[in-house]
Amino acid sequence: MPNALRKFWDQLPASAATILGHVGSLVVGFLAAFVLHYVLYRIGLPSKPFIYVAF
Amino acid sequence: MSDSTPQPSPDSSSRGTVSQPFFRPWTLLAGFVVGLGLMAWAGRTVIQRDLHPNEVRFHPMIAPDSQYEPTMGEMRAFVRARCRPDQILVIVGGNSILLGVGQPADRVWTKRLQEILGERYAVVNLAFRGSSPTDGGAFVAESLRDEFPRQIYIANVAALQAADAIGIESYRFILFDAYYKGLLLPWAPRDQELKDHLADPDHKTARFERRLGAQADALLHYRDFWNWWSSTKFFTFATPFQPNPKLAYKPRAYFRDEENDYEGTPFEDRFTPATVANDTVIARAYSAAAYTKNNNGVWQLAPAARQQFLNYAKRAFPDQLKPRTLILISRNSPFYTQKFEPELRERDDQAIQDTIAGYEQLGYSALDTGKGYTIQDFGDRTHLTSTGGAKLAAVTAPKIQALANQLGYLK
Repeated sequence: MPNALRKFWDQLPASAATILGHVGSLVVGFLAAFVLHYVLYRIGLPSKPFIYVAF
Repeated sequence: MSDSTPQPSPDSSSRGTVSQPFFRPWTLLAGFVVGLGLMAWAGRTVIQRDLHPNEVRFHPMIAPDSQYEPTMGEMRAFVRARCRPDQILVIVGGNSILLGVGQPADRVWTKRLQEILGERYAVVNLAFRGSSPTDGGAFVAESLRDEFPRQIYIANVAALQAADAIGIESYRFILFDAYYKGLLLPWAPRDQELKDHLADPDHKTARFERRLGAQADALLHYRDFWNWWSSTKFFTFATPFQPNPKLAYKPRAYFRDEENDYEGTPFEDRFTPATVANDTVIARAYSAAAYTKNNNGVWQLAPAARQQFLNYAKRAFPDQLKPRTLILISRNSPFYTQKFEPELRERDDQAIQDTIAGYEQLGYSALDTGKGYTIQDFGDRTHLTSTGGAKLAAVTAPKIQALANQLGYLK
């Protein structure tokens, strides 16, 4: 953690730090879910388009 | 005397405790789980809406041709938006011939079919290029069997052709989607084929991963969500099908159905010498493999070939869906068949009769798409122009009406 951020974090009241920690963790959890959701979709797609030849 | 009261060290917190960690692992995990749940809910929700309200079919920019794989939810919404509960649902599956390759969207044959059948019916085109009778449209129709019990499913084959119950590899993503979302009827031959497909030692790992993906998607609906996103927001990666970098990331809803018009393409461009040479070989082989002439000079279908065809056709669709399934037998362009020796044309006719008899014996309906086409009705060896498509609609509509009557849909 950069020093300025650490200083800011350390100076926060305990209750605010707790709330902020939970909110931040929740947001990061959401983001991880969003990314995983997309990655699952993307890796399931074929790497090349379906090339149509007359059937 | 020195002050012995402990002074806070520069590193300790103003809260008088050891610095708290920012991340809360359990909260992070909870966020992850809730996030996945919300995304799954979003996927289930957004796919209820028709993503392609202006389209009459799944053109290449919303099909695997451009690395876009329509989901069952998406195709079911496509059907719901086009068929009222009081209408008889007619789903057109099958390959590029029934998709209407070479027919612009405003003159595609299924539009003509809708005009002939009228308000009482709703015709929905779910055919795909190169797909078999048991691919996408078939699974969508089957999955809607309770919601639209008055339904007819149409697909096409060449003579003595029948499909695998699990479709073909290029469109198997639709089967996986339908199967692992529990949308299909139990049908032992299909279950067994799928089991054998998954157990094939040459592809076991890849197919296991695919099955795992389909099972995960049944829970998380990521394909539904990201197809919605890709259709309405922006496409997330460039595809070789759309080489223009300015257009590569456009939402797929931006692209219109720009099917080539065979009627506007010069004949000599469609029937080049190389194409004609190649397609002549294919057209002449239409019914060659299975027939020999008997002592009376009549074309006879080899028993083994008949049995193989019947075995495939029997397994292709669940028994209870066969009566509402209409199989169209597609023919080659007269550009080729007119040049055949008469006995070759007789053999093709015999093959079509045998195909119809075989399908009907198993409980399907089947129809010869007929010989009333001119060279101008075909864009190439097999695909119809708009005028040919109109003739196909005219031939097919009475059979659909007769089938609807036979199935008690008109009461």
